[in-house]
Amino acid sequence: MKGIIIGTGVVLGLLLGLFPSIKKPKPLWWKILVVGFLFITVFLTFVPYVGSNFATFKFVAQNINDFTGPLYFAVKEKNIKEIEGKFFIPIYNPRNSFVVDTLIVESPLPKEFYEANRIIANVQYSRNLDKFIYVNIVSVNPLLVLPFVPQLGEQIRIMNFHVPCAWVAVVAYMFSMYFSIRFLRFRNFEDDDFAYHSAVLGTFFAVLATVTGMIWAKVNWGSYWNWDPRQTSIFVLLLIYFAYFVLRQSLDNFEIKARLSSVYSIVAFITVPFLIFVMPRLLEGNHPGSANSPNAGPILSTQENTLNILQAFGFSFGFASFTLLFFWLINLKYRIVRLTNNVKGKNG
Amino acid sequence: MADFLIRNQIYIVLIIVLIIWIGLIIYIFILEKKVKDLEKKITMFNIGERKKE
Repeated sequence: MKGIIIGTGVVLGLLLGLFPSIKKPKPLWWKILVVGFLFITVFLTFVPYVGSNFATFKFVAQNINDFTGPLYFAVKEKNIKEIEGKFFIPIYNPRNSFVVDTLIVESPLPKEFYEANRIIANVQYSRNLDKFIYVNIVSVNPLLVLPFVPQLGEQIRIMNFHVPCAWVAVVAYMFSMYFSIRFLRFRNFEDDDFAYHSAVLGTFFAVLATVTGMIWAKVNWGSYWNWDPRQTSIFVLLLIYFAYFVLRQSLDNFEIKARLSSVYSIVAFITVPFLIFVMPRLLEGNHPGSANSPNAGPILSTQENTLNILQAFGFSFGFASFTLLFFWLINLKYRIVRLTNNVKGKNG
Repeated sequence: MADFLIRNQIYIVLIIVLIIWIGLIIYIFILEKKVKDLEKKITMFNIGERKKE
């Protein structure tokens, strides 16, 4: 299910982006659609609360002393029991209404427990006593709930922006390679321009993914740069494409420049799938999906509950909107470059 | 500052999303500048044509 939703976002982004053509101006409805997708992505990133399901919560709590985190559960008013000033509340799985455990609440009992069916509350798990102790209410009868991923917590929201940036870099480099091949085949200098500007945009998004990843790493791993396989590979990728720009700038003859840089761009793209998709999964590191992580990362993992449907939708919209944004920007850039060339041709 | 961010993680999300928006806006400003240069060139070109006539 998760795979289908995310795959739809990726395919939709690519297909809509290529409509009506990569070089023609986009219609108005297309632009409104892109802005709408971006709004939905921002909405699904910031509005829902993060709530853990019981299995994940217990899995995390058993490895940490006095773990406190947001637990998403259902309560039924008639089952609340009071013993010696403490309330013992059976908590249910909100999906199938099975009792999972008992929550202990010190008196007085917050009124939300009488009014609400479903609650996200910060709950402390005491490992020695094997008991769940209520701390405070986060949200009452939440409409949308994001999953709680161990070690990430609230940071799961960053995924909707950070990962699509890296993905757009791959798409941009792919188009750079495609137009380089077209240039070598048809010797049309517009294709060469397109390949160059696509690589520039790809590098721009790769830098955004790196910078956002660095800030994430500072909070989660302790320092901005850890030489994690993922960071090393994106660094190597950036170096490869910086060399492409250096190559272009260092040649004066525009025909030799176009021919050499096209060949370089094709060779450079061969490294992209390895550096982005393969190498970080083969080596041990901190980034989700490394060789030593318990699953293949939240996206590719086949385990249940790594991403719930809502997070998959937010992620999918992130992919679609960023891919469309890339096509919009490359289209604008291409039209500007074509006009500049026309003006230059007329003037000189 | 770092402690505050670790306790209130939603602000990290905010910072990261803002960085991406700022990056995109910078890119749009660069495009804007290029369009402006083009407009200037085209106007100059048109004036030159009129003078020739």
